Amino acid sequence: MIKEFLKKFRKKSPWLLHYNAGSCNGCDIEILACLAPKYDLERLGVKNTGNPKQSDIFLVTGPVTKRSRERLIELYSQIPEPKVVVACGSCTSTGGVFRGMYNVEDGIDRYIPVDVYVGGCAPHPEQIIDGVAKALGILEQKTKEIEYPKKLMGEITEFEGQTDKTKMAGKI
Amino acid sequence: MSWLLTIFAPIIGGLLYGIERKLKARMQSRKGPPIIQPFYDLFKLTDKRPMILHSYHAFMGVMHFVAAWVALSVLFFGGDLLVAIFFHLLSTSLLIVAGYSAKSTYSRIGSTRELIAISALEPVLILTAIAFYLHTGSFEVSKIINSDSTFGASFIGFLALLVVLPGLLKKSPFDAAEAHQEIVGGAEIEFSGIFYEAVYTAKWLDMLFVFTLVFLFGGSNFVLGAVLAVLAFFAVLLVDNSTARVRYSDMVRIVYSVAFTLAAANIILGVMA
Amino acid sequence: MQEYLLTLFLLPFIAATAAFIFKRQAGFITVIASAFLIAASILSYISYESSFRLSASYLAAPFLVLDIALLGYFAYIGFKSQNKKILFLSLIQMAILFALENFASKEGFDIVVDKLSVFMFLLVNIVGSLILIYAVRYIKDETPNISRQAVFLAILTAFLGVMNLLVSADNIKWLFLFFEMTTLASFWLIGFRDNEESKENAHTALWMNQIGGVALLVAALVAKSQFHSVYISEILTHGGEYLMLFCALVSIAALIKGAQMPFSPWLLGAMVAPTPVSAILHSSTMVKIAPYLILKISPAIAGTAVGALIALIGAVSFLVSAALALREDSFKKILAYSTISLLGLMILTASLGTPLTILACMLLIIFHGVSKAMLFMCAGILEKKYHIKSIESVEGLINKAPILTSLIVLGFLSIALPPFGVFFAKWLAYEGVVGFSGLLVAFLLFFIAVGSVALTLLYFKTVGRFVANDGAKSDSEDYSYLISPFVLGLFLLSFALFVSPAIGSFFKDSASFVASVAIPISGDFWGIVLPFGELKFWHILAAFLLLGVAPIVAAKIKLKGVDRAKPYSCGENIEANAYSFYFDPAKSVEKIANITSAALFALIIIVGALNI
Repeated sequence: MIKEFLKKFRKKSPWLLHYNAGSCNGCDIEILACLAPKYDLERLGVKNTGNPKQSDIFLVTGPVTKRSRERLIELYSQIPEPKVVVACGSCTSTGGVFRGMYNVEDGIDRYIPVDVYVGGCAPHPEQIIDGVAKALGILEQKTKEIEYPKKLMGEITEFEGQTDKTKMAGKI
Repeated sequence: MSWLLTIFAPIIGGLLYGIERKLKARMQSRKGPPIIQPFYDLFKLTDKRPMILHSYHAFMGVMHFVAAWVALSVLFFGGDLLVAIFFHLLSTSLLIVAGYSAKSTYSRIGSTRELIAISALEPVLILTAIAFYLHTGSFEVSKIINSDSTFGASFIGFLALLVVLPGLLKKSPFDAAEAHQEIVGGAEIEFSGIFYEAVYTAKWLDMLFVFTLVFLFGGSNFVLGAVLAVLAFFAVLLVDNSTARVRYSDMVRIVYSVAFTLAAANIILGVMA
Repeated sequence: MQEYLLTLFLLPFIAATAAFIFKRQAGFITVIASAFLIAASILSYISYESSFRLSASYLAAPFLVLDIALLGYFAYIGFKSQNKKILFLSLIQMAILFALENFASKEGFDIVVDKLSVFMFLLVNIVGSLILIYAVRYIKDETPNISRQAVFLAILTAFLGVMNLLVSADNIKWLFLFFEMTTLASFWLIGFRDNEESKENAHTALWMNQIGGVALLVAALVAKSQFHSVYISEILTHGGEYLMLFCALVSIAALIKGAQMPFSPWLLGAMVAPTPVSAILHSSTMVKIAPYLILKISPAIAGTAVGALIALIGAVSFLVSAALALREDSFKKILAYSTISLLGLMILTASLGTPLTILACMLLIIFHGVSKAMLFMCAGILEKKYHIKSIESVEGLINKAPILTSLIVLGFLSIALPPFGVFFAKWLAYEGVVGFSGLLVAFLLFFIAVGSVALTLLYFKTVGRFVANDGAKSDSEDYSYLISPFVLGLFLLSFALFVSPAIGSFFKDSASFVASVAIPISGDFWGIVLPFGELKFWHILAAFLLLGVAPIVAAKIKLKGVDRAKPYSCGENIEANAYSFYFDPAKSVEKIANITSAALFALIIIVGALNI
């Protein structure tokens, strides 16, 4: 019963981690505009933490470049469950204009499970807020099981009664 | 009354923190989160899958919160002001030790900066306590509350306390220790879930502690004390919104040349009078 | 009580001679002697009723011969090593010694064992004996040569006897003899390792301490020629225009022995000695002669210009040494600077002479002695077992050696924060210093506030290095090494919990004897009550749990059911690291501080001579 009570608060205080996986910065500017006075995400209790250990929503922009693959998985593994991933922009969803190029991986859903895709190049702040709100709805339904990345998975071991996630992100 | 204040201190501190966030947003012509947002954060953080670096780090973080609560309760039960300040120093030191024990660059840099910050701020607090003694004849908070207001006699000391208030609350311009854009939170970076909740609540308690110190300047005139506390609150918020962060070396220089000098002058005036 | 005093005065020398002769049994003899010394000091305190006085004028001639032999040996060292300072100072000392014989002196008691002496007995013998037990183990790792081991232990044991005699001496000529005997012990022990650096530092220690000896002899000359007495307790009651000069000269000797600026280099250089030497001589016992002498003359200098100047020197050393320590990364150097700094605080509080500050000084003497001894012993273990000299190499030590690291962390926390003794000394210093009125006191307060926060910065920076944790498994530790530090650690913890009754009874008694007025403090199990401040039992309990128990529990606890994660480094998979903080600009302050202190030294003598 306490769990049901606490679950309601996941929606009320979502903390973001914003990561740029090789984006042109267009989507990043729109995300920062969301936090600015005109669109003001902070009234929903959203805080832009720079720290995966204290965030719930992983807001990613950019088609995954080869340099940012491992870091993406590393940051993803450091976010405690329950977590949601919001792919912001069409590059992040499908590769966008850069689909099929030699240097990008066509979107993050090859690497980590995505919950909400926000299309647009760059998406409007209103669309981003809409996407975040949908993600919050999904967040409320999630459990606290460990969520695994799809690729570059390292190993999870047991260490003296604790689950050891220090090697969860693998290397190329 | 002291028991009530002590037991409900996190709740009062949380409301204070929420009001501060709302006012900050209003100053920036935004709407801002609801006032009970910190409690939403509290419940959300308890519902995360717990994650630590190692047990020493997590345990010391919780001890930091307990020490902050003890420092506050020393004040609320009318104890010795120097003892309360030393407990506040103790609580910050526990966070610093926790920060150092993590094998993370940001954590250690944050701890170092926090240590340098307290080496600049604590002397001013101690001199404030001594100023209280000089004008009321006692270090005990219970006696200070019952004697005349020291605001007029110790006005320069009040100004000195105002200058270090942003540093104690880790706000601009003296928030090098928790420079969010630079070192991602400093010593509190590796805490997560319920352990971060402990550090977060300790921040609320620190806020309550600091504004109680300001309140003491009113002495037995509770209205004056409340007015001073509210004015200081607004002043700190205004300064936070309008200033940039200074480097930690500049922070030490500014605090020593402005706040320490003012507090020292206050003591010399008090001794000569 | 006589039998305990006999033990304390004679047993160390007998044991030292026995250890020197029976080289193989030197360790065993030392341990047995230590046990007897600990027992004798405790029993002498318990059985103390009134001061014990002894007149031994038959020893005047033998001691004069001993004096000349000692000074002759110093002169010989100066001659052999081409060190003009040592030679010159020895000759001056001999000249003044002969000049002393021209004056007659009244009768008096050479040995006076009063409450202050018994207080110092406890510190010297309990802490000193524990260090001797540690030295028995340590010296086996230092050198395999059995006769050198025996010589080392013999000198250390004899040194304890000299210290016992020094704190009981009332005849200033005897005081000078024992003072210079401690200088000799320091010289031999610093040069024990026989390399270039050790020899040079031993010579520096020798000539600097000899200046102190000269000051003591000139003080004796003044006393004998003007007051016709060599007995300190009588001189202090005399009054008159030369009293200030006498006190000024005695305090100069004390300040040099306490390595105050500008005479700090000898103590800093003494860190090349083996660790038991650093622990006994240069932190717990020998340098405590400084606050001891100031306490002895405090009734005469309290409230005078000379007292104010001594307090200023103490304040300057307190602040500047703490700042200079921030430049060091060698563990022993950090401890040495911190010793000089806290000695400055002790001298400051003793020279102010108000009842509360005297209590604060005595608290500091005991607790600083215990904490520093424990820290130095741990430094020795680090050096011998783990080959670590710098605090930058202690990453992961808490996993390899949890007990050692917990003791080190406890040692540093006990010098910094409540509920440990040194915090109480600082709290009482604040409360006591404000009881005094005047501008000087306000000025001293600023020094204390900034200096104590600089020390806190130093200690937490060092503690931070020691708690660096990497989650590895722990090795087995060498328990024979850890006995003495562990006993001292237990002492610190238990005193932390029972600090209020201890202050209310033991320290208050000893301090009220020195201050010769009632001390406005009352302490029992429920807390300490001062005229304008109070410390309740639940404060002490909370501080004890947060600082004494929590770090130890934190080192041992293993939280179950949580995930372990990597530290945050922006998603990179690298091993991040950050070193500690070093404050290099402090160097520029050193010169100014040395010049200021030297000026203050000169001023003390001038003010004393002019009897302002």
